[in-house]
Amino acid sequence: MTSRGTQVRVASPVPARPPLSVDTLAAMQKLMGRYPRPRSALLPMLYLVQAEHGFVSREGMKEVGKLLGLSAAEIAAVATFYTMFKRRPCGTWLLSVCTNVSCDLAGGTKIYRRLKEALGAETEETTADGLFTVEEVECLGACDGAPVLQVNYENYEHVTEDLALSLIESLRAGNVPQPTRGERPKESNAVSRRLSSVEAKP
Amino acid sequence: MVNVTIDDRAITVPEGTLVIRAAEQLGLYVPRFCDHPYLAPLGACRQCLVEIEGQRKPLTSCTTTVTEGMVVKTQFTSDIAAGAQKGVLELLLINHPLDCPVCDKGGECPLQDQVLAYGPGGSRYREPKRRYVKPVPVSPLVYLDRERCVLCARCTRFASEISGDPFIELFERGALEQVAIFEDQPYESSFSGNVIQICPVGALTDAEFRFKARPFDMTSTPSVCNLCSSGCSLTIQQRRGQIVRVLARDNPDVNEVWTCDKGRFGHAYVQRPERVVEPMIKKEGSFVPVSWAEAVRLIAGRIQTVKANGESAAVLAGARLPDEDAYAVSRFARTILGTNNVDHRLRRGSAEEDAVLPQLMHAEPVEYETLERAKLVVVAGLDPREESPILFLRLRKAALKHRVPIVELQPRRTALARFGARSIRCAPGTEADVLLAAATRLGERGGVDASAVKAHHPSVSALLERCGADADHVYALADLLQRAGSDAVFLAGERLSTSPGALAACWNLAAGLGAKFARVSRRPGAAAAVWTGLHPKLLPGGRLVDNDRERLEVEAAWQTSVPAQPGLDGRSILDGASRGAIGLLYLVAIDPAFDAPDSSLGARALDTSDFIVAHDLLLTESSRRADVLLPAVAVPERAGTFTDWEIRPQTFSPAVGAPGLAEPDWQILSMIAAELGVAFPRSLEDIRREIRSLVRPQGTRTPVLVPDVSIPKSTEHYPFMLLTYPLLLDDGTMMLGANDLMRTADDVFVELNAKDAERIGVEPGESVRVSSQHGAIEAPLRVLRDLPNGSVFIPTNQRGTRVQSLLDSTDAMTFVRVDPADAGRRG
Ligand code: SF4
Ligand code: SF4
Ligand code: FES
Ligand code: FES
Repeated sequence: MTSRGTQVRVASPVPARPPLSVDTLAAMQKLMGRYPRPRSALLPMLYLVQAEHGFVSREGMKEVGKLLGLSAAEIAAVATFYTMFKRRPCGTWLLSVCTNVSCDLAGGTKIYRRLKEALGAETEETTADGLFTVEEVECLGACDGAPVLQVNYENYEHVTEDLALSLIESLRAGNVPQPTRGERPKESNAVSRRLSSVEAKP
Repeated sequence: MVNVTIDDRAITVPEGTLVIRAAEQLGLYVPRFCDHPYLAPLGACRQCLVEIEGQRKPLTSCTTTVTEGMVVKTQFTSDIAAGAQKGVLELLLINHPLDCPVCDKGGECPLQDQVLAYGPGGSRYREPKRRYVKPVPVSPLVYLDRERCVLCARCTRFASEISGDPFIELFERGALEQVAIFEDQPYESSFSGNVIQICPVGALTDAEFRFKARPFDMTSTPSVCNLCSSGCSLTIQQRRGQIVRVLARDNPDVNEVWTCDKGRFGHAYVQRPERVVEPMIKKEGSFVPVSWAEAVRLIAGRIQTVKANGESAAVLAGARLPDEDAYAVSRFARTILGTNNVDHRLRRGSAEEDAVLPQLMHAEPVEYETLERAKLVVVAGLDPREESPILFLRLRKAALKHRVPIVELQPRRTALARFGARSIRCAPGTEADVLLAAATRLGERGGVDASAVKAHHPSVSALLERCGADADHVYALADLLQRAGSDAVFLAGERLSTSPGALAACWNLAAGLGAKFARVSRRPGAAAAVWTGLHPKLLPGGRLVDNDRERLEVEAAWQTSVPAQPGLDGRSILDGASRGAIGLLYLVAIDPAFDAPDSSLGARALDTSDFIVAHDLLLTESSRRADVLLPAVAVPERAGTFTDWEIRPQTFSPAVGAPGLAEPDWQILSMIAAELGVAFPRSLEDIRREIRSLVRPQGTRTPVLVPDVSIPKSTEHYPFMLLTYPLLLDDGTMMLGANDLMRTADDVFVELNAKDAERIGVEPGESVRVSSQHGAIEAPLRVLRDLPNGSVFIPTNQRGTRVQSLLDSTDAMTFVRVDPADAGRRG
């Protein structure tokens, strides 16, 4: 924010990544074979890039473009549209704090600020140890559990500032607490791989 | 048909009509941004909301199709529609910088106009606006101002739907959604200027036009592009006599609403200080300005001397002349110089070309629209994106929208293949083999009388072996031809004329099928050059010099006699001149010293000629060698007609004044005729009348003789066959001063396939040396998948590299060797 208006996106430099591994490329081919039009595999392929590189890298986007016969601009147009595609390296644990109305009234924004402070990381920046990335998100559709904090897309509902801080402590210690519902979250790369559905039985 | 009511008025429109179009038919203009008649409906901007009875909310009229009994109310009769439109305009302006006073679009901006007509008087938005760095170049020609963008996606849809260069896209989402390129990969397209023209706001601006003029300060003149044979309609805009901008002018039959970047941005040459502005005579090696009277007197005197001494005169005229000038040159050569030594080509003609060319004017014309209805289009010896860009766009549309199969036949895969055209690749010079093989295959199935295409030729397998084309591809072509029959269209590039037997084989195959045939040249006046007789064997109307009846028709029109002996072709004229055998060499808008496909022959011919007269715009390699140099006017400065590849004549009038004493070419010739006291047309109208009277009625197509060709073999020392043609943006004189445009031109390169590249041991990007018996050049290597083995492609005039130095136009084929550049130096 500046006093004269919103200066949009001063991007920190995006690190370079090596070419995608043979395994990832093979998995991409497999995904492309699943659809009548290979282009339909674009989103899952981007998740595979994210699983290997920790984010949707420039190198990965170009490679996907080459495989699908699309321009890098077309790939980036898609990759920049969806918030679950990360544009910079993402930590092992992605903390998404809802600050939309219900959660905000229940203290969401305070929790968000507190987490940033505790981690010393700005929005969508990753801590130096590569463990955490914190982001502010819109309504997660779980307002009855407000305020909601997600770790790698699993919900921790009715969190408080203290609970949020203890959550990062346990994660740091290698303990993944049970979320409000569903399974314990996996590490972010594994989550991306799962989202690619490459392992799924057709 | 569907009946609808819009603003209480009834109208019947075809099924599938969009509400916005139906309203237009009633003269009701619904405001819009994203809607564009040549782009698919999208509904991105929400500006065109109208009320439709029975619908809970207003609908976008640009995406809603009419239904029977529909009752529509636009902003003129509905408060709901008017309110919705006003709301959208208020929202669009929330982040708009309101910098109209410094915006190029100001004065012709749909956003300005529509806010004025339908928008709110003020804004309720008090918060800070979103701000972006601006402008950002998305290419050397196009600058983007994201703050002004209304996210209508016209630009991105143009790039992906129309030209197929999707290098600009909408990135991000929500409030941050923005037009962008991928990092540092520019928006590279031969058609990029169109996005500037269709952007409904000042978000995309023209790098050269920025801040130069306001729409209301400029005078616009409809014109026709003179930079290729596509025949685009243009609007030339000038301010204080200076051309400041060129726009595409709507012409649904030809360019629809588009142009290529060359036509749009390549006009700087017209108003350069380098223009020749007065007649000049060479005295002691340098030009001295003289009056028209003196120059004309000198030329007239020379003509008399040459004739009195029985010396020969010859005329070379460029295929970039408007029809009237071409006609005047043809008539001047015959009636004033008394010679048939006239040509628009700088190479050898061939018997097959002589046989086909006169028939072209009488073949059933192929139009742009024909391509969309064809069942098959065969593109041979032509790279449409580089040589006729708007034809390329129309072929792309035919293929993608109308599912017309396209087969290209040439050694090098072109951009046509990117949208699914099948490529049949053959060794340079063997196009005839492919066509004959297809004809034979077709003949076996009764699709065509193969012996009428060519009486005797080697077996299909021998032909295929020689040309190296994939048999399956050739059979597939035969199948497609069989299915398409007379609904096939053949587009023969001018290069087909230099591939032995190819033009004749293509012509005969088309005739045998009853299919359509068009010749597509690179240059804008090529059709007129043939039609008007800038050819040693042809008189106006495709009449043959040596056919008494046909020649007499022309003599009757001209009321004078015309030599009955065919003259020399371009190459022979240059040969003659280089031996000092031409007493008067007359050049009109042509630059043999630079362009002749014969190493140094062009320059030598001019250096040894006794007396050269040249009409030109600029000092070129040739015009600087003239004895008398006469200033011609450029196309935007004159009136005239261009006949495009479709043989569609389009007239134009002057957009700006001519510099100095420059005159139209026909006028210069007319002055000389007057000096000599010989009858000659005195006005453009005279010429047009003569042209009309010499048009011939349609004749029947007769097959021509396909020569037996023996294709020379490569030798051990020169193992590669050379293919060369100029790219769209090359070192041509007309590109003088178009600096931003030329920044988008490709670098020079030498193309080989991967196998050949490996064999000579060079990696892509490394420099190679290409040498023939006549000369050598050096350029970096590029690898093109599936270029035939033993073939090499080099663009003819790219970035200072002149492939002409490797050529001799009497060779059927040019063989070269390719070595790593350093080895060449050592050797
Ligand atoms: S730049 Fe212009 S054409 Fe492109 S989306 Fe924005 S307003 Fe539309
Ligand atoms: S396609 Fe040809 S005629 Fe059209 S603008 Fe380009 S150069 Fe001119
Ligand atoms: S507002 Fe946070 S989950 Fe709905
Ligand atoms: S013009 Fe209809 S939504 Fe844009």
